Amino acid sequence: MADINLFPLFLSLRVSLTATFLAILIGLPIAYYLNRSNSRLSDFIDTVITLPIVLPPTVLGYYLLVLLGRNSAVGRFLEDNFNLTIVFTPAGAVVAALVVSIPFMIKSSKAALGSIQPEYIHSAEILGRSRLNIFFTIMMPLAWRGILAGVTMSFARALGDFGATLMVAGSIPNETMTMPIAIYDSLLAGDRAMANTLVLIMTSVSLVILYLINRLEKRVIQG
Amino acid sequence: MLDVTIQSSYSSFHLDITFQAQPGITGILGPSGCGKTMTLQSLAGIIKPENGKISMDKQTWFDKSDRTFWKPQKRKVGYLFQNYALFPHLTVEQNIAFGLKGLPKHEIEKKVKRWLGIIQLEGFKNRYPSKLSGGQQQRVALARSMITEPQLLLLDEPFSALDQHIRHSLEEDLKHLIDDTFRGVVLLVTHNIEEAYRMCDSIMLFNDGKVIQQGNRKQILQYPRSKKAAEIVGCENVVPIVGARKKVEGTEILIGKSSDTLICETIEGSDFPPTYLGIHNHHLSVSKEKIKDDNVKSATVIKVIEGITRRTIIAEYAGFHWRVDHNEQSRYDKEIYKEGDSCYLLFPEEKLILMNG
Repeated sequence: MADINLFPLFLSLRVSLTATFLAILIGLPIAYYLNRSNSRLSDFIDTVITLPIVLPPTVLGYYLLVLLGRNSAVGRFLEDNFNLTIVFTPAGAVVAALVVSIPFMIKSSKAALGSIQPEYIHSAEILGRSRLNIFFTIMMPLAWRGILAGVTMSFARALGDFGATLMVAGSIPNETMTMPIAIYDSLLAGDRAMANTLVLIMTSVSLVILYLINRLEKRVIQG
Repeated sequence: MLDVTIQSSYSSFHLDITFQAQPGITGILGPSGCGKTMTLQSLAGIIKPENGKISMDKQTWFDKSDRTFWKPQKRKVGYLFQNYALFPHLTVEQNIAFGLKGLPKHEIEKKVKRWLGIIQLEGFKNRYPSKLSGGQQQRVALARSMITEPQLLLLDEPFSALDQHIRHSLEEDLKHLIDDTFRGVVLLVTHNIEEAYRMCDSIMLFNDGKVIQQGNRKQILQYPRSKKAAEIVGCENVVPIVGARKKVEGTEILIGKSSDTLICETIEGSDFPPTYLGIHNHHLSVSKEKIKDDNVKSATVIKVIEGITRRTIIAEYAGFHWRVDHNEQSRYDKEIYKEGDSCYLLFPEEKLILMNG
């Protein structure tokens, strides 16, 4: 109990925040595209995007390992050109967290964008605004609650990931060991007290974050 | 002038519209699902027709033959949506100014101020649309469209979102506002003949994706050319004709089981023989005493429906039920009708409508 290593907590927060940020950056345009398009391609993309919700995280982790490993084409390309190694690094943890969490971001944003009455968008077009302008002046303000819900769920899923992260990033102490893995690790080592402490910390941090997001949502509505 | 020819096929519906519209208010009247809104959307560029051409004054907005298609942003159109589509997160002022992006700030302020004055909502500029009444929302939406100085104004059932009791006064307001501030072509979609008649100079009848008749409002109301057109303009008495013959005094026609004939005014240029006979409820009259006239027929009262300003009498003649509007001014109003009474129906010669198809 004497010295709790808080590295896993900070790593978890850093990894899940980065993953959430990337999920917004990548997920929103995809959600926008899926919402606008009725093509077969978009149906296919929609299906593939749902897959991470259904598949066991270990299966996802395995795919990522195969896809991004040092022996794979993508892995080698990243290493040669950007000096970036994915497997068994914090970057790998981010990728794993991103993949498991982005479906929530996309699904929720797509539903939110889809629930905007088309008349608003048509009005704005007729009044001369560009698509991009309409996205920021009409669509985002009208759909932000659904989008924020997606961000929250994404973040929660990223923070809690165990399987995919373990497969891709491993559990190297002080390097890639995130909170959920640290908890499992201490339990395996028979350190019940440590496991309890970490579980408590994890729970409190999650509670505080979710509470803050809720507050933020309320404040924006009133404002 | 607006010149439109558009064709589009949908799974269960074919749109095939051709018309021209002059400056002034033209009504588009038809049952729901007849392609009225789709036509407006094609004009605004929200949907792209499969075929045809749309030109406005000297500009071509759409031409399939040379692949011209102007986006809604480029066409100068004002569109008043059925529910007004005011942006709920923007104030009245911000809504009105929405289409002026790119203009210098002081110019935007000047224009918005002017329009707030025109629609008499100066004190409401910082309110959100949800805090406005239906009529106020309508005015804001109109100002938002008109401030961009459109060439074409499209009104999609502008009164359908409002309570019945305020529609009349708002019709007046809207008509004045448009007459005072707009010189171009206005298309007004509605399914209410009275609204179309009060608001419009000319009227087009739409049915099943086609324009079935176009003309000035009096003509349309008085002479629907087909059974469907008669239905749309609210003519409830339409019966098939079994025989017709041209005579000096007019066209003699035979309907239903009766052996005696009705005389109608012959309209030059119409197809012969006509297939349907129609007459508006308010042009038929009923009486208890027999007047000497070829077009007075003996009938039986089937039912009397009491309305607020008029009484509708349904009477049977020649195997058909005729609806007769009997208003306060009618000279026969003193007479009381009961079911089963004998009576006489007068079919005024010049009010009988002969139709084809």
